[in-house]
Parts: sequence; structure tokens; C-alpha cells
Amino acid sequence: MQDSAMLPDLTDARLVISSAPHISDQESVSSIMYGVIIAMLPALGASMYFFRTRALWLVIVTACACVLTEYVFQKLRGKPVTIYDGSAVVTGMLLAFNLPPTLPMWMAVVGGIVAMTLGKHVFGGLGSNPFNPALVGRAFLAAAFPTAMTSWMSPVTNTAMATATSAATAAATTAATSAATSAATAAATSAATSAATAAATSAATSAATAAATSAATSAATSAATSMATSAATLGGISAATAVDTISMATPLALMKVEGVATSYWQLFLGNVSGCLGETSALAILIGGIYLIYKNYIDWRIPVGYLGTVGLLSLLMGQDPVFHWLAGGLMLGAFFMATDMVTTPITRKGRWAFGIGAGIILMVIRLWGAYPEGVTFSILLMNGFTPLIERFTRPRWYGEVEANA
Amino acid sequence: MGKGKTFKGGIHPPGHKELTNSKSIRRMSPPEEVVVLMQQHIGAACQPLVKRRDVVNKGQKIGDSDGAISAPVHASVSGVVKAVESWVHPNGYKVQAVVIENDGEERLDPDIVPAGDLESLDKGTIVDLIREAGIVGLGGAAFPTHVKLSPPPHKKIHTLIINGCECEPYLTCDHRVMVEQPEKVVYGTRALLRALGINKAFIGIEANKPDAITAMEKATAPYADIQVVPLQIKYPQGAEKQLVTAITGQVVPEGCLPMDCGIVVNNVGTAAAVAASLKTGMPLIERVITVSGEGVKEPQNLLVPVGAKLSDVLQVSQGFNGTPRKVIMGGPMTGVTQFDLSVPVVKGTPGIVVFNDLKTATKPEACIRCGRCVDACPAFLVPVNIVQYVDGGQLDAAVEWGLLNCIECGSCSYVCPANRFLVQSILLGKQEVQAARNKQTS
Repeated sequence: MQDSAMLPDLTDARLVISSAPHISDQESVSSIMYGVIIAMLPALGASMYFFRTRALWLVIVTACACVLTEYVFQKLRGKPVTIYDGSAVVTGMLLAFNLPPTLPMWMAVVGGIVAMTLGKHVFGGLGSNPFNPALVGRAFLAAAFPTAMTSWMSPVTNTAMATATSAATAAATTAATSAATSAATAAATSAATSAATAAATSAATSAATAAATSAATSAATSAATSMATSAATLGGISAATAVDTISMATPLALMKVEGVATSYWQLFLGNVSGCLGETSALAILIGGIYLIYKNYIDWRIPVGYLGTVGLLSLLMGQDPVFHWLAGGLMLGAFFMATDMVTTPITRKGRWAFGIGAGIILMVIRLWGAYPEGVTFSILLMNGFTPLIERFTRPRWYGEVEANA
Repeated sequence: MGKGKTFKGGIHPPGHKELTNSKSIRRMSPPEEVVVLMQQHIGAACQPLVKRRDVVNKGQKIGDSDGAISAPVHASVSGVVKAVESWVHPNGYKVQAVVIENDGEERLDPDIVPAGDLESLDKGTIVDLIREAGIVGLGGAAFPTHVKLSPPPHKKIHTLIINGCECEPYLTCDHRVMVEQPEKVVYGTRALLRALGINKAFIGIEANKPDAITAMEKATAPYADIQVVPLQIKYPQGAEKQLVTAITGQVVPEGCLPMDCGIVVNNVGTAAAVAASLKTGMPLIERVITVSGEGVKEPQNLLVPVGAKLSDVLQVSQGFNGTPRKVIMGGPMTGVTQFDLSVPVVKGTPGIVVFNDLKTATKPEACIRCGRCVDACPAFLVPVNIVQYVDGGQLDAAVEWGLLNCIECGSCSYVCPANRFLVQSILLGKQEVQAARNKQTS
């Protein structure tokens, strides 16, 4: 029976002793991250269609800034370099998706550095950050460069809008070279002298140029009474920030300040001005459905978030479809609010997160100074995540009341 | 996911059952030497009843205990006791063992007599016979069966569940028993029903064993009190409480046994063993195990004498196929890795799985809080948070989050994309809590 030829000598065999389980599924952190990148491709494609190479460059520059920052930070800390896990690329792409297409590249780089350092690595790196790193980067940029962060270009495909504002455009192109001072003087001649001056001094060229056209004067006045940033946004309607682009307010700003609605179809396709990756609800939905199908995100968060926004819109007599499609809500609901690291891990907690973000968003959109509030609604809810988790611990199997 | 009842949570690991699920059970010729461990069950260890140089018969009782929770052990071959010494248990610790040199005579013990007609046996007699036969749960936990059949009088039992899930990947021994010996399983089920004095039994079988379901449905057809229940293919479908919930919808409260809900769960292999020992009088001295994994040349289902060494069993399967890295006693989800091939098969050994490579990562990455462990946990725990508390030394917080309610199925570690040692840390935490509590009481 004992045939040693059949059973090799095992004295040198290195049998591994380990605690069960001895098998694992194929999913890894990097496969999830690359899955998220794949899910972002439709939105990237859409942004390239609407904003051309400018969009692509912004994404590449921001992603590279994030990856490099992670590399340098980990080298400096003497930690293993994990740039290949894809998480830095995801952050970079998401940040770029949240930037206006006209943002100067160096600002995007600053945003990437801030996102990776203040957003992620000061807390210990992947998995330890309380706030969504991309949104930290965006919030920083919004605070540091309010004008650049609220200057919007019209999609190059948006001919209808371009024609509609052709008069203003013509005025803008001729006025583009003229100094801010002369424009400000023109604004000053209109009724709201002090307000326009405030707009001119703070919001500089774009607002002032807008004021130069008679059609936009009243708009500038109303904008100037609100925040300087809104004034800049509004001024963008007819002003050009650069020679080759046509400036245009975001649908949310148009609605908030002027009461101008944008058609559902344009919003759904994304043929409107806005951040790189947020304009096309269609592209985002394709990516979002892929994420849900692959189990990379929990459907409860987008459903809770969008559902709350829809419900509150109806209650407040607003158009829910407009609120869903306009601005960064779609991108936020599927790509930002679903960030695994910064959202609750419990199912009930994810409902709470989505609903909470929806409430904050609507408060900002309806009563806040900003036309848009996706960034802050998610960041604020990120802060509540540990607390939410604490109160939404699932009842375990057979749990008896005493321990509940 | 497929048809049939099930529980919430769980995972879908590849089954790899095709390696052995169509192979008939082969009887392994008894090896030259068997090592019968005195601890093959949950409960008190047995004291050896024989000493060196004693001549023993096949089926002779060679170890027993007065403990309420214990089961005697028997010689699986006839021969001479070579030694009574300490030996490595498959679970890694050392226990007393009786080493018998097989004389090849297959000399049966004179005490072995068939129990007679099932109808002629009363409750108590069946329970006593099961105890004397040393029958324990063959699913893996090896809880003495007679104890399960003797509930305290205030616990009214109404349902018997026979566990034919075999949800562990690679293992097919229960599957083959159901396909090849369905009447034995049914006979054993009837004996268990009689011992419990009840008339309602369910046989739960995962849907990945259609031939077993067909065979069992056919064999149970004459008996209205036994019903076959197809279950979804999902791990850990065969975990006792999860099985109870899947079949009856009842939830077993924490700190309680299915018995507290009036339910007794037994494995199909146990039922077959009960049938065999009642019919022939032979105690539990052999069991069907699955030898599988890409690391063995000939994966198969073997009827193995209890006490056969791993090396002998692997020999019968034509040895290793390549260089083994992991030899697992049991399935890959909950089995125990072995470092010494002289370890013997015990009553609770459902199989031996050999891997030539590590199928799990050795280096954990950062947790990205994806929540896969939460979705997978059949006990509805939040493994990642419990582990965070255990690793941080906050055992009280870990207990608050349900540490002690982990059923140790390993689903969390299986799904973790960061390859974190979740169930492993939880096990450690449980042991630390237990140690702290023992210290407090002593």
C-alpha cells in the first residue's frame, strides 16, 4: 500500500497553514476602480462631443495631477505607492468632470493637488478620507477662483443658443479687447450704479462686458444685488471669456436668476453649458446603470437622492424633471454621492445619505445664494456618515430586543 | 438566483462539484494502520478503553466518556493496539489516540447485532442505540446526535430538518449518499422522527443536485411525513440557522439553538449513518468523504475507515497532482489546513481538498468600505466595523456590533476586494472576548 513513488516526500513541501476561507472571489480594489473609470467613459465621450479637446485635456491634466500628487505624497511618507490601483485616476476624472471647460489648466492642477492631499492623503490615504476627495478639490477651487469656476462656455454643438445670442456675441467679440474699465463705465451709466460697480470690481471682465450690451444691463443689475459670483455667471450669457468660445450661463443659473427654462431634451442630451461631465444626463445614466449592474454602487443612494429632490420640487411647486436634469445632480447622484469610502456602509444609512443630500441640495437651490448645491450637499452628508452609520446598524440575525 | 427557498445574504462561490459529483462512492481498502482519536466530536473527550497490545475487533468500543455531551469511538479495523498516545487532531491540537495495526481479518465484534424492525423500537431505545454507535453530526460540526435527540422536556420539538445542502464548494459526499443510498437516508430520517416522537420532516437540498432531489423525492414518496425541499444554490445554505429560516421561515433568536424553536437539524450523512447502524448494528466506523481539488490526481468520493491517515487517503486518490500548497480538511470555505499528513480522518471530516496554489491573497489592502461584506453576511452583521473594533482593541464596541453572532462562514473574507482578513479577525475577537469572560468568572 505504502508506495512512496506515488506520494512525494513532503518533508520539503511548503504546505501553507492559514485560517479559512481558502478561496476568494476575483474582485479587487483596482478592478472596482477601473470599473468606475469605464462607467465614466460615456460622460467623458459626451463632454468631448460638447466641449471638444478642451474637455479631454482637462481630464488628462487633472488625472495626471492626482496620480503624481499621490506618488509624491506616498514617497515622502515612505508608504507603498498605490498609484496603479486606479483610485487616483478616478478622483482626477471626477474632479475634472466637476470643472468648467474653460478653467485654466493650472487651476485644474491645483485642484488635483488639493483633492489628493487635503481630500485624501492627510487622512491616511485610500479608505480613510471622510470627505469625497474630488469634491474637496472642487470646493477649494470654487472658493479660491470663484470667477473662473463660474465661467461657462456654450457647447460647441449648441448652434441654436449661439444664434439666439448672436447679437450679444457680436457685441462681446468686438468688446472683448476693450478694457474692463470702459465696460464698467458703460454699466455705471445704467440705473444700478453702485451695484454694477460692485459687479465690475469683483467679477471683472465678463460681467462688465455683459453690462455693455443693453439687453444684459437689467440682468447685470439683478445679479449685482445677489452675490458677485452669480453676477459673473450671469454676465457670461453674452460675454466671451476667450476668443474661441461662446460663453453661456448654466440652465440652473438661467432659471434661478432669469426664470428661463431650458428644454428637457437639451438637458437630457447635455447640449447645455455646465461642468465637463455633468451636462449629459443620458451619458451619466448609462454609466450609472453600469455601476449598479456591476454592484459598484448601491442604487439606494441615487434613488434616495433623486427621489428626495423630485418630491421637494413638487412640494415647492417646482419642476422636478428640470431639477433632476439641470446642473450636477445626475453626476452627483451616480458618481459622487455613491463614493464607497465616504458614504455609509449600511443599507438604511445609504437611504439616509441620499435623502439628506437631497434635502440639503434643494435648500441650497431654492433659498441659497448659489444656483447649484450638489457639491456641498454631498460634502455635508459625508460629514454625517459616521453618525448615520452608528444609528443605522442593521439588526443581526435573531437579534433580541434587549440588544436593539 | 435559481429556484427554491433560501436565506438573506450569502455568496455564490464556484462549486467545482463537477470534479466528483458524478463519481460513485468507492470503498477504500482498510489501511495497515488506523489512528482513532479520542476526541472526534464537540464535547468531552473519550477515555481509551484499551491498552497497548490489546487485540481489538472491528466495531469494538475503544473509547467512551461519562460526559453528557460526548460520543464513544470504535475500532474501524480488527487488529492489535500498537500504541495509546497523543496525536495531532485535524484542528491542530493534540489529543489521545488509539493506534491500531490492522490484521486484515475484518473480525467483527460479537456485540454487533442488528437492532431489528424500526417499528419495534421505542424512542429511548433508538436514542441509546445512536449514542452507543457513536454517531455525531457528519456535516462537520460533529455534535453528538443523541444529545440533539434528547431535548429537555419543556422544549417541544415539532420539526426535523435533514440537511442535504452541501453548500461548501468541492464537497459531494452528501450528494452521492443521496443519489446512491436514498432509502438509507429515508430510513434514518424515519428513525430520527421516531426517536423525537414527531411526524414532520423536511429534507433540504440545494438545486445544484437535481439527481439527488429526484432520488430523494422518489424514496420519500411513500412517506407523507417527509418532504423534500429544493433550495437555492447559495453559500452558506447549509448553516443550521440559515437552513431553518430558509425552510420554515422561523428565525432562531440569538443565543438559542434550533431546538428552542422546536426544530432539530441533522445532516443527510448522519441520517444514513443512523440507518446503517440500526440495520446492521455496526457503529459509526466509516464515512464517505470527498477527495478533490486540482492538487489530487484522481478526485473521488471514498468510503473511508475513521482513523485512516490523510496520507493513505491521498494514496488511494493516486497521490498529488503537482506540488501541493494547501491540504484542507473539509471544504475551502471553512476547512482547516493541514501541515502533517499523518493526521487521521475523523467522524466530522467531510472531505480533503488539495490546492496547488494559494487562491487567496496574503496581503490585505486598504478597506474602501464597499459594503460587500455587509451584503454577504448571512447573520446581517457589519463585518468591516466589527473588525475595526477588534483590531483597535475595542472589544465592547465589537460585541455591541454583534461580534458574538458571527457564524464564521467566511463569506465576508471571500467577497472582500481588499482581501482583508475579516472572519479571521472576528474569530480572534470572539476568542478574546471568551478568554476575558472566563477570566472574570474564575
